[in-house]
Amino acid sequence: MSWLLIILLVVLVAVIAYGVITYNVLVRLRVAAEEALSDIDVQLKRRHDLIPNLVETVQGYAKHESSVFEEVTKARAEAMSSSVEKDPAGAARAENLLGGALANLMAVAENYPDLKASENFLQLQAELSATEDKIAASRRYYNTSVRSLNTKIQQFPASLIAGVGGFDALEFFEVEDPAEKEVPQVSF
Amino acid sequence: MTLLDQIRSNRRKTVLLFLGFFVLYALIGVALAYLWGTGASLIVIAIAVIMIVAALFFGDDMAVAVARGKQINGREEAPELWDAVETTSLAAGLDMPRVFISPDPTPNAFAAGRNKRQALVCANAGLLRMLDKEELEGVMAHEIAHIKNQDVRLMTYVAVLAGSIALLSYIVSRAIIFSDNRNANPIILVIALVGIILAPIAATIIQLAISRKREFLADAQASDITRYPQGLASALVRISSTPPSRGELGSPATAHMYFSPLRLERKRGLGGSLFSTHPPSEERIERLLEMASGVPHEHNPRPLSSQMKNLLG
Repeated sequence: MSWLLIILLVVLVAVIAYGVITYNVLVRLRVAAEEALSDIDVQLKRRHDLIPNLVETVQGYAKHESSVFEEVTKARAEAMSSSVEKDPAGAARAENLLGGALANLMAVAENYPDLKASENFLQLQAELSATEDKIAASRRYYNTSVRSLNTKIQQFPASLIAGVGGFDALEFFEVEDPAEKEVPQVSF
Repeated sequence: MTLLDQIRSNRRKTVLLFLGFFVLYALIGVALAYLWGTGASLIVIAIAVIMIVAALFFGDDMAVAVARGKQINGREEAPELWDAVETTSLAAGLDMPRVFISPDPTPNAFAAGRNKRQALVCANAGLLRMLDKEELEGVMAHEIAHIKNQDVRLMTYVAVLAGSIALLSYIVSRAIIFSDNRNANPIILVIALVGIILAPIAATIIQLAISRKREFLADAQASDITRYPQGLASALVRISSTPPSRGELGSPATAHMYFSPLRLERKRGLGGSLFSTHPPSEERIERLLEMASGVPHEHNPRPLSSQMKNLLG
């Protein structure tokens, strides 16, 4: 009879251990995703910081294109006031609009050969391109983290722990937008 | 196979190979214990541990020194390389490793570092001259994947284990030949001797098999990091079609750490055999292109180079 008791105890301990371990794994995955989200924020801010300089440079050569400048400035203000952590979907939309406005700005710049040849502009253009690569990279990492978390949450038996522990699936950070063919490539 | 399947399958195979390793080691341990008692086995384990620790502590600096790598301290010094490393670290969720450039004119790169904090990547000057942005990102993503998997540490353990098996076999075989084991069963002695001669060969084969699996794994993960396997595939096409040239700085000791097999391996025509550190480039390219069809594009697709178009048919 005591054999049965021992076996039951072992099984119980094993189940509890599994529960604890799985819970901690879920926590780790969720924290990784949250950190990744704030990484995206860091990269987006880099882009926000570049923009005033860029607008000023283009304005120096193309004073009359005021609508484009307004569009960019407004979109930037909106993007800066949105919060990636609190509202990822809203922030993604705002950043998408900003990307569109920037693309328009660059398209306008194409019409001014003096501007296109200026050192300042070329450097800013390169920096913008590099920043957008980094934004895409941080977004990829976030989506990878979300994929890991969402997969784990849905797999059995981890799904039971996830349900009890209150782990929800996270949203991927993407906004459907037909990729623009112009440089700089901004697909959000 | 899809990307994630590839990653899982390569991990599984590594584990199996590792088990094979330990079986070998256990057999030698048993042979030793049979001949000399358990004390000898413990001494052997102690030696292996000491060798592992030494290799881990000095391995990275040695690899960089052999390659005459110079550290890059800021983006201005090498903007394309810096951007490639920073972007791929971001996408992999790793802190950016130290970046080195080696004057080596051959197109290659390696990663080193016993843990994520000490990690470093070293790119050859030849690589930077040859590759474009997407290809460089692919190669750097491959190296970052190695760092993330802690492959350097893994392969150090493996190399030391294989090396110590060879050393042990030598010692034990000498002992058997010169010993005076009147009580030992001659059949067992013969089996032991044969086993001891074959063991180092088996160990090397396993070591290299593990190395090849880790290369496939790093390729698969690099594709996941960049979401653009074509970049890495294109780099491989270019690198593998370059004839081996002089001036290569890598050595047999550091060969397994590089992205692509060194000239000394290629000259011996070992690509694709049991004894190569890397899988054949054609197979790597094929697997990458297979993955490409299953990966959602996040880039504006670049026009393919003519070499790549030929490959895709």
